[in-house]
Amino acid sequence: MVGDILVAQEGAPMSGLPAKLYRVYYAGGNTFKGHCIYTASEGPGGTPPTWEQFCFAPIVVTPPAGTTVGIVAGSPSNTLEDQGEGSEACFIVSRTGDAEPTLTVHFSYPPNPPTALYGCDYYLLATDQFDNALGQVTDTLVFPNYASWVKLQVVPVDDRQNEGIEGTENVTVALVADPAYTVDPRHSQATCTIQDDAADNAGPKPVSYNVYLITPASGGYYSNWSEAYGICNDNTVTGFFNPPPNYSQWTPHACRAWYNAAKVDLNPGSSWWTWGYGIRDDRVVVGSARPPIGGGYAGDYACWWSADNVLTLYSQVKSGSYYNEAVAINDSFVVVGSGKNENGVYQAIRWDFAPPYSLGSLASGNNYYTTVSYAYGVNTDGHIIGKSKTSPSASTYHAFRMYGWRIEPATDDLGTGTGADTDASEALGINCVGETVGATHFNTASGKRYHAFHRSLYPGKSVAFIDLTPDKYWGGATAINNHGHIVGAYMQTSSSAQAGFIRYNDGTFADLWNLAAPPRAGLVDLGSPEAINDNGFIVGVGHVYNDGNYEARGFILVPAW
Amino acid sequence: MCGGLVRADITMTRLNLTFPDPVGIDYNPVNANLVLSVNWPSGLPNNFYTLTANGVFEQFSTASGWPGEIQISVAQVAGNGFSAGDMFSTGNTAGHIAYLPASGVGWALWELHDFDINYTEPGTVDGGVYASKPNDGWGGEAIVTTSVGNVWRVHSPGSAHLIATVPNVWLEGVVTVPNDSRYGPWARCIVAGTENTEACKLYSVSTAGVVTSWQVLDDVTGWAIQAEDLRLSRPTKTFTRSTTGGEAFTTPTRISSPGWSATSSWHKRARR
Repeated sequence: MVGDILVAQEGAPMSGLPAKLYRVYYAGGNTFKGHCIYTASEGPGGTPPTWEQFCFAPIVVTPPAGTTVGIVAGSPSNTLEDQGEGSEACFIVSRTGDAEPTLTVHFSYPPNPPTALYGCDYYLLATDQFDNALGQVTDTLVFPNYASWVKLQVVPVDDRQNEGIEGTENVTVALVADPAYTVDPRHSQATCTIQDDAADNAGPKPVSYNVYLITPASGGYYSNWSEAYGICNDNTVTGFFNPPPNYSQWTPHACRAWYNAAKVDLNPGSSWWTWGYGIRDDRVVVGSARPPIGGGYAGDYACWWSADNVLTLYSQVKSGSYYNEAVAINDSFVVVGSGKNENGVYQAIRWDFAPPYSLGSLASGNNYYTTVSYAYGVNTDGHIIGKSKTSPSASTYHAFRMYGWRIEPATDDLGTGTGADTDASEALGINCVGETVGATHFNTASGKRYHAFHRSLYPGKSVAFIDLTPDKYWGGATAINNHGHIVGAYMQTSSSAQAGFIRYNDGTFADLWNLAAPPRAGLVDLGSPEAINDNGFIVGVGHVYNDGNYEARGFILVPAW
Repeated sequence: MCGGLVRADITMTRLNLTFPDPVGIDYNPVNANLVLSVNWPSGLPNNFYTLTANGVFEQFSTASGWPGEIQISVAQVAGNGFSAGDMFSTGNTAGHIAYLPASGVGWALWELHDFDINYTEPGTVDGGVYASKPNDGWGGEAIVTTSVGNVWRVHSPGSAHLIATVPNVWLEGVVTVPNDSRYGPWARCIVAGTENTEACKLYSVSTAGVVTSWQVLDDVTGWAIQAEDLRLSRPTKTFTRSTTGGEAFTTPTRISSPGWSATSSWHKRARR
C-alpha cells in the first residue's frame, strides 16, 4: 500500500463521468494501468460530487456529538459605512454535527462601545454556503438543509448628516444558547467594525438653480395655471396645468413634464379634471381624476397612470364622493392618499391594487368612523406618513408614521415638538431610510412656533424632533430626498411672504430664491417647494404676476454645479 | 507495486460535516489538522480553513478573496529551508504562487520568473502545486503546474525555474515520484494530470525536463483515466490494519480519514 500512486478522477456529473479513485500501477514496459478502488456515490442533496484534490492524513476526524455552533468574524472584518451591500465584512456562523436537518440559531447584540445599532447603523444579510440568499436576519438564523456554514454580511447604513456623524463602531454578535445546540465557547461571539467613511459630508452643493416652468409665465388667471408636486429620479415631473385659453375656466390636466422637453398631457378627455401628485422612477403617476357624467361630475377617483399613459381609476371610498386623492406611490406599488368615508370624514387610505382600505387613525381604538386622518407619503420600505387627529374631537393633528395597513395609536404617533398632546404636528415627507420631515409646534425663545422638523426613523438616533427653522416665524418641511436634503417653506416674520428653503444634510439652510438664477423664469416667488429628487432637482409651486393677479406656476429647479 | 496487485475496493464514510465549496486539501503534520481551501470561486470571506480531528472547522489564515481553484500542498517534512507545515497554494495573482507559513500568519507571493531565461509565467497558476520531499529527487522544492502547461520548480523567493512545457495543456494535479524502480519510467519524475478532460493523459517530466505523455487505462473497463489529482500513499497507522488482500483503507468519504481525504464540490456544475 505504502507508495502506491493514487489518482483521483474528477468526474463530470453532466456527462455521466463518475468521480473515481484509482490505484495506478506499473504494468511493465511502458504500460501503466489503473485499478478503480472507489467510485463516488451521491453527495449531499443527491448530486454526484466532483473531486478536486485529495490527501493522506493519519487522523480520524470525529464530528462532535450533537450540534455545536460557533461564530467568527470574516476577513476583512472591517467595512466602511458607505459600502452598503457591497460590504465584505461578515460573520461566519458554522455548525458541526449533522448538517442535514435545518437548525435554528439565535443570537444577540451585546454592547461593545462604541456600539453600532442594528437597523440603525447596519443590518445583516444571510447567505448559505451554497450561495442561497436567506435574506435579512435579526436575531434568528435558520440553517437550511445540508448547510454547515452561513455568512452574515454586515451591511452598513451610512450615517446621515441630519442625525449626526458617528465614528468607528463595533458590531458584536453573540450566539444565544439553545437546547438544540451547544455554543462553542471559543467562538461564542465575534466582532466586526464599521468605519466612518471620509465621504460623510454634504457632498457638492449646487452653486445655483436654473428655473423652469411647466407652463409659460404668460397667461391670465387660470390660463396656464400649473402646479408641480412630484419628481422622480430620471427628472420626470408630475403635477397639473390648466391649458389656455381657459382664462376663467378651471380644467386641470394631470401631466408629466420635464425641464428640457415638452410635457405630456395625461388628461383622458377635455371635460375631465385630473391631478398628478406622485411619481415613481418608472414614471407611473398617481393622482386624482374627476370624470364627467351627464352634465356634472361623478366625484373624484384616486387613480394612477401607467408609464404608457393608461389611466386606472380606483374605487371611491364612498361612491360619488369628492377628494379621493392618491398622493404617493413606492416601488412596491403601495399607493396612499386620502378620501372621505361614508360619514364624510377624511381617512388616510391605501389602495395598491385593491379597493380603498382605511388606515384608520391615531384615535383610541383606531377610530375609522369619525376621526380624521390623511396619508402623505410612502417610502421604499413601505413606511407611510401623514397626520391624524387623536380623537374625533381633537382640535389638532399629530404626525404619524406607520407600516402596513393600520395606524397603531400606541406606536405610530410621533407626538409634537413641544411634547404637549394638545399641540400639532404633521409628517409630509419620508425618504428611503425613514427620515421624516414635516411641521410641528416647538417652544422657542419667541414662544410657541410651528416649525419645520426632521426626525429619524430608528431608535437610538435622534428620535427627538429637530427644529429646521428655529429662527423663523413659521416653517414646514415638505420633502426629503435620499441624501437627506430637505425642502420646505418658511416665513421669516409674521409679515414676511412665504418663501421656499432647502436645508442640506450638513445643516446649511438657504432660501431658494437667493439660489435661483435670475430672471427665475418670471416668477415672483418660490414659496411652495413640494419635492426634491436624488439629483437635487426641486419642484413646487411659485407665482407669476399677470394683470394684477398672482397666478400659480409649477416650477422645476435644476441644479447648476 | 510492479505486477499490479489488485486490492479490495475501499469504503468511505461520509462525515456529518459539510464545507463551503472546498477545492484543495492537505494534511498539516504540525498540528495534525487538515487544511482546506474553500469558498470556491470567490475566496470570500476566507480562503483557508482547518479541520481538527474533533471535527472543529475554523478559519486558517486571513487570506481572502483569492479566486478560482485554490490547490494547496503542505510540506510534510522540513527541508530546503521550509518547515513542516508550511503551505504552498495556487491562486491570488496570475504568475505567482503563495507561500503560507505553518502558523497561518501572513503569506508571501512568489513570482514564477526564471531569471536564467528571463521568462515569466503568463498563465494562471490554478493548476497544481506540490511540496516535494527532500529525498525524492526534487529537493523539497515546490513543484507548480499552470494553465498553459508550464512546469516549474520553486526553490525560494526569486528562485524559480521552468522545467518543461506541455503545449496547449492545462496541467492540474501534480506529484513527484520517488526514485524507485517499481515505478518504472516514472521513477524520480514529476507526474501531472490535466484539466483537459478530452485528453485523458498524464504527463511525466524527468529531472532533465523531458516530457512524456501517458494514457493510463482502467484495468477493468479499459477506459482512459482522467487524472485530476495525484498523490503517493504514505505510511499511516491506519493502514496497518489488515484485510484480505493486504492493507485496507478505512476511509470516510468526502472529507476526512483515516487514510486519505478528498475534497469534492457539487456546486461547480455550471462550468461543465
